[in-house]
Amino acid sequence: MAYTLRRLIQPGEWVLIASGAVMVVGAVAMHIGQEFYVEFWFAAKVLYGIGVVLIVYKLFRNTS
Amino acid sequence: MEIGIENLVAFARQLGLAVAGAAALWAFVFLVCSRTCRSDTSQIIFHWIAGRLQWLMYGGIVLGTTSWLALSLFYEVFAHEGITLYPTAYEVMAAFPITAPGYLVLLVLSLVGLTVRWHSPRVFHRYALGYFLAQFLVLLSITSFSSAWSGEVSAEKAFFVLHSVHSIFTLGTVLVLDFLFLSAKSSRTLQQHIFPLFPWISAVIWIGLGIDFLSVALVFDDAVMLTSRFFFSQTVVGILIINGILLSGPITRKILSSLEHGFESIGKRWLLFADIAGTVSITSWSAITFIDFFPEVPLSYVQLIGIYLTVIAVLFVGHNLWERYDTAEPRLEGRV
Repeated sequence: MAYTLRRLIQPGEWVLIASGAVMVVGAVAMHIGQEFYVEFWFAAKVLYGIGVVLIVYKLFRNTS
Repeated sequence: MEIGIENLVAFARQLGLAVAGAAALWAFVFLVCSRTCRSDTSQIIFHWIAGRLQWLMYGGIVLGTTSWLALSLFYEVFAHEGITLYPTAYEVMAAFPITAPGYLVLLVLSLVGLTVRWHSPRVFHRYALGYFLAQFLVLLSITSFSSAWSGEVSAEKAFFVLHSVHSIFTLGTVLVLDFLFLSAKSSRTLQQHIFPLFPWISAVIWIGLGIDFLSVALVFDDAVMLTSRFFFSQTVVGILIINGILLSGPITRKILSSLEHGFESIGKRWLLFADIAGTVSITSWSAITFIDFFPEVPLSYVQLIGIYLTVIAVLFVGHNLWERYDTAEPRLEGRV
């Protein structure tokens, strides 16, 4: 299963998935705690930025 | 539930402009592709796609323009993450005269385009590239200043502009992507030409969402409000990122691989994943844009998630019905 997932999903995509997961977990945690956890917000956005850069880089590299 | 009519109309305006802008952008891109590719079949197919997108663009223009005309002076601007900022009444009123000429140009361009296409398709074909580019640029400028304008440069104003503009690249492009996906499902020839472009279209969507995140970062200190709407938006944004990656990554690659191997079947399970992911994508983008315009939703987090899941289920059924009945194929004369 882990091997199949590793084969199917590229590194940049993993980073974006992690970003989305942090966002969902953060939202649920904030909903329960009724408090804004700025660490979740920034971690998700930083991961998102890295993921997008990796994906766009891969696209250009595959095209050229 | 307090849903003011002005909120619905503001949502319709944003949706219409986003779809029209994205359709004009991608019609332009497909026309460029058709003029740069060597194969006759590709040229015809890319022209056909641009022609289909044209109607989506006109639909968006009608929705956006009529909504703009119907809107009262009561405007509000909200970010996709449930973060809230209110433009002042002055900024809201100032946006009217700034965008009015843009709407006028948009309508004149559309009427001229439709008339020329009706009477002389060859002339329209000759100028179609410039036409779609002009439509896109007008829509981009209208969308930039549609929510608020004060004439000064500040982080808050940059937020308003970036937050409005990004919907062309996110919600609008997602709807165009699904429109293309549905259009191509009944034809393998179409799939061969359209599906390889999906990773690029997805990259534009990711960059568009990045623009929204950047815009929120500009006003971060003033913007966070801990409401069920905020938590819901955060959750849906997270879901749409994960779902979008699965759709534009493994699922698209699987489909492309099957096309490369002589249309070998990708299997029912993959098709089901693709259908579910497409439905979740459209629902999520629409949900976060919709809730942007309703700052005081009197629903709990659980209720909002419940409605969101119900809409996904309903759209999934509708999606499958569309697939069953839409069998459109490109006409070989290749007219736009």
